[in-house]
Amino acid sequence: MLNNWEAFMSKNYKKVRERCRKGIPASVRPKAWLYLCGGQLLLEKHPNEYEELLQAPGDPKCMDDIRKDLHRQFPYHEMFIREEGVGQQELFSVLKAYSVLNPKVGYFQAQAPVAAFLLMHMPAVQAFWCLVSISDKYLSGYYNPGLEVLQRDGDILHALLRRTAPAVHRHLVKHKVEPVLYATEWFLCALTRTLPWDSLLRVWDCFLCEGVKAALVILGGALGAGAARRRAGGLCETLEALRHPPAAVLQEDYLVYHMTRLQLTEQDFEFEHQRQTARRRALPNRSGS
Amino acid sequence: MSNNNTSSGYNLKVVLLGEGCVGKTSLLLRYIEDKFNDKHFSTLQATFLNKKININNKRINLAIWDTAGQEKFHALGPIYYRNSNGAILVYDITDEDSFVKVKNWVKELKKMLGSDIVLVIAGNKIDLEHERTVPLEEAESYAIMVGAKHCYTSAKLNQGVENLFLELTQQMIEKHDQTSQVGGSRTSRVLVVDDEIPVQSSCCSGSKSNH
Repeated sequence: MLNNWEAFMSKNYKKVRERCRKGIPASVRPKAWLYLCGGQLLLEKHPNEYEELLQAPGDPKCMDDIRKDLHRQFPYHEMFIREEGVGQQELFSVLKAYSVLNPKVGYFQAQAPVAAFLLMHMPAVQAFWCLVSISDKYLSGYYNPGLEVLQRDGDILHALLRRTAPAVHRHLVKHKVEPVLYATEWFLCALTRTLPWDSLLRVWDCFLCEGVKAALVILGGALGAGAARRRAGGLCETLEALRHPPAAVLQEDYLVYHMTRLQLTEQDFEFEHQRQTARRRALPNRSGS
Repeated sequence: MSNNNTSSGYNLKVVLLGEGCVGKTSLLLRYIEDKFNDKHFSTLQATFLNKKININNKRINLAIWDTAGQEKFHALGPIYYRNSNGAILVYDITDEDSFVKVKNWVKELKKMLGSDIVLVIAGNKIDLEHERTVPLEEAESYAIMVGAKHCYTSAKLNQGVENLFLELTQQMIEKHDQTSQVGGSRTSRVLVVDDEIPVQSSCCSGSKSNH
């Protein structure tokens, strides 16, 4: 399957999706991720570019920002625990290479947990190309100035919740819990800071195959249900409940079950996407800057 | 529901702003839980914490927003500082750029909120005094110029943190009492403490049937 990836993927997408939803076996997961997200394709196209990017001087402000963050990603993971350890060095390299490749974005803090998570699975050069693909394709626009795309997707999540989990939606509206107040981190770092390890792996299997919205819906529904069940009574309490949901709702089986149960189609997403884009366009400049 | 807030208590909103890695989260962690942890995560998602305190027999509930520092998050700023009674602008005394960032925040807050908001500038990491690059006089005279209180803190060694929040809170109370005297009918930013009773309805909620 992996040897003839492109042909297989274009012909048998449904089969791939099904396999991903069932969970990719741990032994092939790193390789599968590399292929799924298109990192392998990029790597083949630009075999030496990673090394070249590392030779470049890099923007001093970016380098500074990256250095400040190296010890603040998975600080308890053995790979990143030591300053000057291999993990932190590789993390620096991967983030630096990206900032040189895409100076428009440079370095965004949310990329660090994504890159660190990738480095736990694969060599630096592969992690780099996966990061490129995830930043530029999956999370496309999230890292742009103004964070408009992020806010729009927050609104999409909110609108979809109304259909998939009306009780949750009512609760959030009642307490004025806006998506940006709880979902910023979910979106920006593709849930790497949110889910327990096993669930995160399973959700990423789906995320890399089906895109960010898959992951989103799973989480929104499940977490929201958790929050509503607790009947958190207020903005602070609701945010707290969303931040530290009951362990049960983050179990991998629960999450995946939720996803298969939700009957949202491509059209639903497309419709909501168009609606929210139009709505945002009609808004007066909200950012105030 | 609408009894006078001087007798029942104050609800004040505070926002922490400043460049990344200056210690906003650490200051708050020290203040709320009296802890310091050098193994922590960079803040991406702004978080919201409550702290109840008593000053001169007045009950005060502080709602404190801790925000993400990187410039890229700037656009989300208004969401967190709107309707704030006070702001703590944090910089790292060993990082000149972080002080420039404080100045930018002051400008923006003054422009958007005028003098409604109480500003306190905090020079954090005084445990690294020997690496200081932001001159003491410059920071203090700037604070005076913009009408902000200036405090020195070390979240690590627990120096000045309690005082920082105390100063801010006292000023916010003062300001609030002034404004409520001047314009009685003006809708105040300070809300009356109103401990809402959690909804106990056992009506069929969709989430219950999920399992």
